[in-house]
Amino acid sequence: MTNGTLERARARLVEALGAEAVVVETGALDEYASDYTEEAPRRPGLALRPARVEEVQALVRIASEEGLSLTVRVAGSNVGGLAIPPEGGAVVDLRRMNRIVEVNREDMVAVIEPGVTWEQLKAHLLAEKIPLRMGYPLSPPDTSIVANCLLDGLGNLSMRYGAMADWIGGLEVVLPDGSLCRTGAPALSPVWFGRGPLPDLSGLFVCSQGTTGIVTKLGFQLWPEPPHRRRTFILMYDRNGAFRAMRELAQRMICDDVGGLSWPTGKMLFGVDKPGARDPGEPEFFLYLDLSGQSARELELRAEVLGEVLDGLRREGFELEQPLDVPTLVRLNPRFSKFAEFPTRLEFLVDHPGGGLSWVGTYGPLSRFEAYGDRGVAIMERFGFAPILVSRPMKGGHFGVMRFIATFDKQSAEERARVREMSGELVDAGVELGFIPYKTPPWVVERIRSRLDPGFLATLARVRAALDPRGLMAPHCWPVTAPGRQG
Amino acid sequence: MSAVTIEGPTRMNLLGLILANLIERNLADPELKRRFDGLEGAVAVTAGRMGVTLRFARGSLSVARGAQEEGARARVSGSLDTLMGLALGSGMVGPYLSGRLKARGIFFLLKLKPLLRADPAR
Repeated sequence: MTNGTLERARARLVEALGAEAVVVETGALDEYASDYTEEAPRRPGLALRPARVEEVQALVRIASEEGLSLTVRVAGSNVGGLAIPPEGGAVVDLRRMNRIVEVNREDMVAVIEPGVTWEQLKAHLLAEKIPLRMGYPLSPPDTSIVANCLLDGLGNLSMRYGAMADWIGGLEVVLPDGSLCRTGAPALSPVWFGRGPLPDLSGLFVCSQGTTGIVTKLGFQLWPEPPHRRRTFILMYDRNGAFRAMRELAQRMICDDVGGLSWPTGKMLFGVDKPGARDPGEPEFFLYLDLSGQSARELELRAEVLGEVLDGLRREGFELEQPLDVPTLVRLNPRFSKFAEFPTRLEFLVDHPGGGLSWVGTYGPLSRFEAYGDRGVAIMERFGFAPILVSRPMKGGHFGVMRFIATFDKQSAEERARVREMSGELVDAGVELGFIPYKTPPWVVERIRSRLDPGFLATLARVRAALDPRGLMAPHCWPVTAPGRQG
Repeated sequence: MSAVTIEGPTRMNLLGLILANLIERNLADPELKRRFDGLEGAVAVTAGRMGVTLRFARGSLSVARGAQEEGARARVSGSLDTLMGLALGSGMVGPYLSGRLKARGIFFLLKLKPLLRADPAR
């Protein structure tokens, strides 16, 4: 796009949205040029801050006519370069669209705009005394619920209810031509209760990373808040024992959440920024569990079954400590309060001195956790990074998440290059074992493209070309080529 | 400068980090600080397969990975659960008599124990 075209687009956008909603100052654009990761910065031409759906429609129409690319962004804590626009393109910053349109208590669904954050909806539920809960990711409290759902992220209710795209009760979307579309239940019903039973057009906008439209409302499913809850940690001396425990506990469905963090996270919680080699005698994995019940008795029964599972693991020779509940851990070290309530900001990941955070996240079969864990840890150690591993069974154990996390110094070109090379190997190892990267960064798409089913690729490209024939919506994301079109 | 230092913090095990953190927090209490200032000598601590050595030098403490029993004034060993139980307020006698806790240099350990309490005010 030439400077003249950009200037013309800017003038039209100012007319449509108002000057305060069109950002062109270099300093203000800096925040949109990079993310947490090793991804190289790219400078946007301008940033747009719409406040209403009509403004989103107007800006999409103008961008389409002027050939201006649009990349959606909300909280800015994105990873993998998804929300960094192509050089000179426009960022659509949706933070001003932060209305909680309604919370339907009886049908347990909130209709929200993309700027609504986890902490905002939680505060709203508390203030209105609405006895419903939601699943929280480990991302910071000021991140977007809608973005997490559309990217099919996960949270602390994913063990029970699956990945977040399963929690969508319908969408309102501005299509690349500026028209408005409702998918899922709200296409026909006043209640945003689910993605079906109509043809699931919501799927066109899930994991598509803004390439098919801009979602302006989402039905977000909530669940009853159980009156009795307990969160416990179990220190396990063997990573594979932890994976075994996850499978056992997932299939018994006694927990709301079962997850695991590898040993470096424990040390980082104590202020060690870059843990060195593990003491062979120390626990390798921290299993965390959420139990809940409608009564104290139900909670105790669930805890009893948990005890039986743990005893079984001990009989098989796995070494593990007794469960420690979070209040006890907080007494030992107040920093454990980070895990007492969600959403939470884990400073040791997002606010450490080096500032860099990158991860390879995959969903895949629990039966192969051990194999991927072994390979992933070996890869991370070979590249000189403490093997931070986060995992969790999902949807009752039908699949799970394996996420390898690296913190690094963003100012160091050597570290950035090392992280990228390591991440490539982690992706390859996971894909070879049947795991699929989620929140897939463009460079990962390039890496896995040759392994993807050709029919899938062709269909994806055709869908995208049909919805966005000019290729202006997040053109850097999911770089696939339609037949007869240059990608 | 902190009175508690960890030797090789990036390689310190979880036991050492927990103990160093507990003691450092407790130094905010003047009575416990006085007690700390009077301690001199090494204590070898083993929890499961993790070991650390606490070296007190009248007003300072260094925590090293590995339980160096040689020259130590006291030794204590047990499961991590048992040692955490001490920090959380359980007495030493029960675990000691049941064999879950092994200890030598009991008088030194009794002087040290309040510094390892997670919430000494309780």
